[in-house]
Amino acid sequence: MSKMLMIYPDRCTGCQNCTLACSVFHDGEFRPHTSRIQVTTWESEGFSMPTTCQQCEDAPCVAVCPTGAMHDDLTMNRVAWDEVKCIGCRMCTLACPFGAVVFETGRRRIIKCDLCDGKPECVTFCPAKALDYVEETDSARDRKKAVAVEFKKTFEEVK
Amino acid sequence: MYGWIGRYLRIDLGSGTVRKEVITPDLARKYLGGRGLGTHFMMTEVDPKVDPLSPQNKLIFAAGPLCGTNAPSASHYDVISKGPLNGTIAASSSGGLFGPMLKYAGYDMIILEGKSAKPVYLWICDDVVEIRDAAEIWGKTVPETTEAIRSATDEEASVACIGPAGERLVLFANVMNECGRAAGRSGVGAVMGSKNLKAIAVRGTGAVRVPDPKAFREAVVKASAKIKANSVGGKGLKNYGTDVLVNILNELGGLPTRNFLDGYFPTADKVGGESLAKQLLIRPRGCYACIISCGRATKVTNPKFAGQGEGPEYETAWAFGPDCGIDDLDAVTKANYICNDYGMDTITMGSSVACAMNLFENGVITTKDTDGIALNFGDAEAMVELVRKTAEGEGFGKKLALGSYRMAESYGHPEYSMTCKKQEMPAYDPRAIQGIGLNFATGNRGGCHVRGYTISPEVLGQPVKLDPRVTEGKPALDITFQDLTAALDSSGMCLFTTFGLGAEDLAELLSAATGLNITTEEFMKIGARIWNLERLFNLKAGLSALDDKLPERLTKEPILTGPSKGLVNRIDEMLPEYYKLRGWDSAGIPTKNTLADLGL
Amino acid sequence: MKHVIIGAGPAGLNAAATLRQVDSGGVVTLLSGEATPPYAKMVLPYLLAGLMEEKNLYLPVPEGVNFRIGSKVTRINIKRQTIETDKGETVEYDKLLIATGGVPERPDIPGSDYPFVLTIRDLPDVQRIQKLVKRKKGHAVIAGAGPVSMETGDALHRLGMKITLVVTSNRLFSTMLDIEAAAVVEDHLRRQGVDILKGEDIVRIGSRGKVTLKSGAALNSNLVIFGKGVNPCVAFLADSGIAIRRGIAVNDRMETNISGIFAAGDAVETKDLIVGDQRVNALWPAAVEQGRIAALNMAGIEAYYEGSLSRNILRVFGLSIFVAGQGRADGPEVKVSSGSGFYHKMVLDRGVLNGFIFIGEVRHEGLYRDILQRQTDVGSFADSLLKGTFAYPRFQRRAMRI
Ligand SMILES: Cc1cc2nc3c(=O)[nH]c(=O)nc-3n(C[C@H](O)[C@H](O)[C@H](O)COP(=O)(O)OP(=O)(O)OC[C@H]3O[C@@H](n4cnc5c(N)ncnc54)[C@H](O)[C@@H]3O)c2cc1C
Ligand code: SF4
Ligand code: SF4
Ligand code: SF4
Repeated sequence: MSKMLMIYPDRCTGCQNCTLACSVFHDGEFRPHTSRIQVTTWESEGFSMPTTCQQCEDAPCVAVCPTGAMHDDLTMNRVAWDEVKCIGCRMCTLACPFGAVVFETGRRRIIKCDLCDGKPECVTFCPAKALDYVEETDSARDRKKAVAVEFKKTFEEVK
Repeated sequence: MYGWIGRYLRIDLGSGTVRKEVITPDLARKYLGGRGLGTHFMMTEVDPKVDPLSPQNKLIFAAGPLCGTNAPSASHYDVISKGPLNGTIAASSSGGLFGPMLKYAGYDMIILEGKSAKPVYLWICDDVVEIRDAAEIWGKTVPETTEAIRSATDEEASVACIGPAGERLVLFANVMNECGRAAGRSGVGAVMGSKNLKAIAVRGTGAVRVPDPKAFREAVVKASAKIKANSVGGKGLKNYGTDVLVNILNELGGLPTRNFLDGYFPTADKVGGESLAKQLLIRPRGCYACIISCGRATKVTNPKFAGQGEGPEYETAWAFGPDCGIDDLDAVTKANYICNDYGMDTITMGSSVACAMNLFENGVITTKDTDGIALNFGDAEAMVELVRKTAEGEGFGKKLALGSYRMAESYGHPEYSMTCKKQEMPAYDPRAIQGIGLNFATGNRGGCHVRGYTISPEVLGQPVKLDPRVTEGKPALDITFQDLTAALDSSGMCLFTTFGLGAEDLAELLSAATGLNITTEEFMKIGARIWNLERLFNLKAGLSALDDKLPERLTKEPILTGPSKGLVNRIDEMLPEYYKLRGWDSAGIPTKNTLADLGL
Repeated sequence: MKHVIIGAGPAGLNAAATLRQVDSGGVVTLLSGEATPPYAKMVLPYLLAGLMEEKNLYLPVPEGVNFRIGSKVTRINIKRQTIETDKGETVEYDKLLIATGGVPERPDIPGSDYPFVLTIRDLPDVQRIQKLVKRKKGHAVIAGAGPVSMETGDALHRLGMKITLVVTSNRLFSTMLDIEAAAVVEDHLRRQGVDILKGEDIVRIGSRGKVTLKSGAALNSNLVIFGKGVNPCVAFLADSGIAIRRGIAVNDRMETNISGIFAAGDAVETKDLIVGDQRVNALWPAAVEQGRIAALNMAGIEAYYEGSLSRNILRVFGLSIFVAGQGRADGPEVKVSSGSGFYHKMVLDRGVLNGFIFIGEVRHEGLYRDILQRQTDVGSFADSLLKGTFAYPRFQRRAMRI
């Protein structure tokens, strides 16, 4: 059974260990700018929100990719990107409303979460268990939805 | 270079010139970064006798080599300058995002010189460095400034700024970054204000590199595991924040109460970490790369003291709480918020209020001096009002803005000021804990707990339990802690990682980050080098062995109640040995041999 | 259910894939007038520039689809519900999708049929250029400066050709950029050695490559490319009874005036989301979405198309250009920030984004597109948006504050 990445924003401390772990794992250097996960902090509310690719089922980035470089990888339950096929046209980055697919001009490449091929570094290094990699069950999927709702609520509370 | 960027900015605010200069590998290895490297530049470029608020003083922001990596809690940078509160070498450490961001932008350090003719702020975005007009943000609070600068520059910028307190040269004004993180002590914010520099905003898209990412990862995992396994580093601080110490210190009878008149406060629990967690805590927060999460996102709903923000930390809760005889957590937290918003050091602020209360109760000052406010210990509203007055630069607040020493001195009674080298001592009673007393007295920036946190062994039993009441062995202990901390500060780590990590672990992390083989001995020696260098700066600034002392209250007036009733500090038993072990002569001056050995 | 799709571009391919997903019992026949397996026209400039390997060119036909290569449809018989191809085949349909894309405009001037005079739409066009370039690099004259000609020009430039752009209007990208933005691009291109002739047009081409311009000036060329726009490919529908305006007219379910016949992609006109009128927004992502919506409706699943957003993102001669909506407009409210090598402009109406032009680096393009498409009120953080690096979390941060 395949797994999915869960985010619990209310546990997040805003420490950015996830972004550090992600960038060094993929690029061999600490460059949070190219991390596949990003964390936004509302300082005065004391709240942080990690965001990364949702690995959408009917992903708009996959639909628009003219080369098949962006594709569904069912074995790992993710949207995967194939560097060899990619031409750098940015149809995918234009399609993703979350900005989870980023084009890095300098290296003509797409930066997006690849779930670290099944061993998410961000989960390993999150000290607050705000990130988790769990079996994809109906209940896990429901929980993911609930988290989204909860997020809104939490925010309104701290506000 | 690995770990380091190898480059720093030198900015002359007077002429507006910006230069990018190189840090040589030798210099980097000698002083690491942060506090050490900054002190080196202060020593070589600034006359220690300089007036701290004059253009001739320099202000240095420096990150350490571990900053920007994911070494646990390695986010710290230091602000180094000659401090206006007491004229010693100041190095105030802060976490948050600023240090790492500075490195991602491509710099280990910024040296600020001169004085701008008008208010400005710095905008650093990778290679672009601009000095921008700050007319519109001058006068704004820290959150307002942060927001305004982010709007004008980049939403993701890290902003280190002063609040109105720094602009008005409050002698204990701090530099705040990410709204809630403070380079708190010694008044570095006033130096910034004196230079007409409102803020530094940084955004970096570059990288910090390590020689072997896999090996570094292993070192990080190992170090993190040690911190997580530690009862304080792993759980205590996250659950209750540093404020968990209130009850611990009180149970020991080492919680200074009512301006150090006592060492025990029966209702201390009300302002302790457990109460904080129960009543005000929204969630724990972490600095950049932090795995400890001692930060407190809090909210006060009580309409009298309503607000939202970060804090309080233990020393803050103590300063506005027991030290003022106050057990109202809402008021304490409110005072903290005001300090954060206006950019003031909470320890000196609270202690100055405590000192004023002491003066008032003893009739040295009256309501005539205090704008009509009766200043009795325990009066939470009066305390918050004085903090507000200081923040706003109003009436009696202007007196408090000088810190407790100058204020008490102005009324002819400096002995009411609970300071070492004119800087207020924090939350640990030297009468109950001998070693920390020696540390306060010998501290290179005056009364300060984070220069040698002997509380770990003396109170918390970390890494081993030592008896706080004995003086024996304490000089050696203090030196170890002081040197370790100096090297740790300079490498960019958070002090709390020592709840789990020792010098050998830190040296290992540093080696993995820099590719150099830095042994435990070398690490400790770097610390000693930095300590001695700071000492030399202070000696040249005019300080002497006479300043290595505690207020008389602590050596003559015993604690009145509680478990440590009857105790005083016995600094005289420790100081000579401390000098000897330091390799200093009896006048507290490092000998030639000592300096030569340290390469100074 | 017999589904027939004409044209194997993104509209046709996505429709075929969607039909296979939602109507597994149906029969899907996909006809392509081209002699090769399907490929994306968008990639042609990249192929020319050598940024893509030929072996990655062809796209898979969705499994279970009956694909007919080289079958050009010549006629639709609405009464009989059949189509006829140039091979003489007749295919019956229950539901039909017309996704025939567009044909480039080629001006009727002396010399426009020489072998070194081309338009860029299909693989053979690029293959011909590749052959010509292999023989001799030399000088390419490109008439019209829309995205496709520019990308082609960039590719040829990479291959080592000298480039001259001939445009009738007073600027490059006249359909996308305002004068100021075009100036930034022109400046950049000139520095790369590109010649730009404005207010000019090609009136004649000689057999040995001499290009004569409207002003009387003449250029020698080895290659002439016309990029003067694309028209819907609908000639074969002339007597079919299917209504055609600027493109094939469809309702919001992508159905034509003839029930059971749908159309999608470059061949249709749809509602422009920002302006509100009907027009042909001949764009890749629009074709993808329209194809999917048409297919859902063909399978009996109701789905609606809101309209299309004009948008373009490209990188030519090392410069990123990202435009959408009414970026060229000069009101009601305009915010501009520009400097060397970049130009950011947003057009707002009472806090709502109407369009933008970003020349230079941008990040999170999808967020910008989304904000525009949803007509989100951005009044309180417009200045931050203008920087071109606004990220989703930041957006959330602002949006949540409101
Ligand atoms: C060089 C180039 C670069 C482009 N770059 C971009 C870009 O960067 N961004 C962007 O958004 N868009 C771009 N486009 C436009 C984009 O490719 C089109 O919008 C898209 O291909 C339209 O898809 P479609 O399915 O409607 O038609 P097409 O892709 O044109 O496919 C239609 C197919 O139908 C076939 N056909 C036509 N008539 C018949 C018939 N009678 N019988 C059988 N088959 C027939 C054609 O041969 C063709 O294969 C570019 C186009 C070109 C040519
Ligand atoms: S940039 Fe690459 S992955 Fe994205 S749509 Fe284009 S070809 Fe596909
Ligand atoms: S799963 Fe891996 S790639 Fe995805 S955000 Fe986490 S660390 Fe980055
Ligand atoms: S590592 Fe975990 S706690 Fe830290 S910012 Fe990322 S998600 Fe939040």
